[in-house]
Amino acid sequence: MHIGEPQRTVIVEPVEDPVPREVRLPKEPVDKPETGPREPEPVPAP
Amino acid sequence: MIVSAPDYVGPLEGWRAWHVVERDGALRLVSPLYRTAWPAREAFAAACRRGLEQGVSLYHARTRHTAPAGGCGCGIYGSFEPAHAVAYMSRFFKHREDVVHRVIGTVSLWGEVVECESGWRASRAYPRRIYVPRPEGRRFFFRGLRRPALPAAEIALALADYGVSVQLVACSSVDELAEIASRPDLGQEAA
Repeated sequence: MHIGEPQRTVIVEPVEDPVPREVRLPKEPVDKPETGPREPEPVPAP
Repeated sequence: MIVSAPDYVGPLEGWRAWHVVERDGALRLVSPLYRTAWPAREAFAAACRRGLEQGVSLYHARTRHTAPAGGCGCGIYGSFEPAHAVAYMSRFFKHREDVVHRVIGTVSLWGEVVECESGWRASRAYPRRIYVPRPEGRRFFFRGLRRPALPAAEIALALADYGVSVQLVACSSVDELAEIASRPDLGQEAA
């Protein structure tokens, strides 16, 4: 690109980051599967 | 120790063109002159590549320096006016087989910046707004622009990876694209 002759050099230090960073959402809590022994089913009285 | 205060505390905003290519399954912006892809969500850092991709490697070895250097042409370019940038959209400009489309937009420039007569050359940059031309009518090809290899809407959606405003611009020529993109109200709408 033709932008002509250099005029001066400047220092640019943005206060805010010009790069949009990826938004990382917190992971939703996941219900743990049951791992222990199951409670015995109640047996109906005879 | 001498610490110099910055001249600006916000990025400069210039116009430029990019070519869109496929890299590792994603669409990425590349400079019309060089093949380095602009990463998404990361600042693009300048390096002096003068002579490297034209096969004149001896030039680079003798004159290695950080970019941008005042006496070189290196750095990441942005122009004051869109008209300078659209010249790189032309179908007559250095066609490569892997180019899916050509887009223009504005770019944030910061770091060390060489201010020139009609634009800047910077050490750091990131796209700010991207305008994806959508061909209108059969004349698109004959008035300076090449038809995209993929639907323009699909390209715009893929470029959303950059996390900035991406807008489809219906146009039938390079000049019309520059005129529409430079309208002050256009930058407020995001696709």
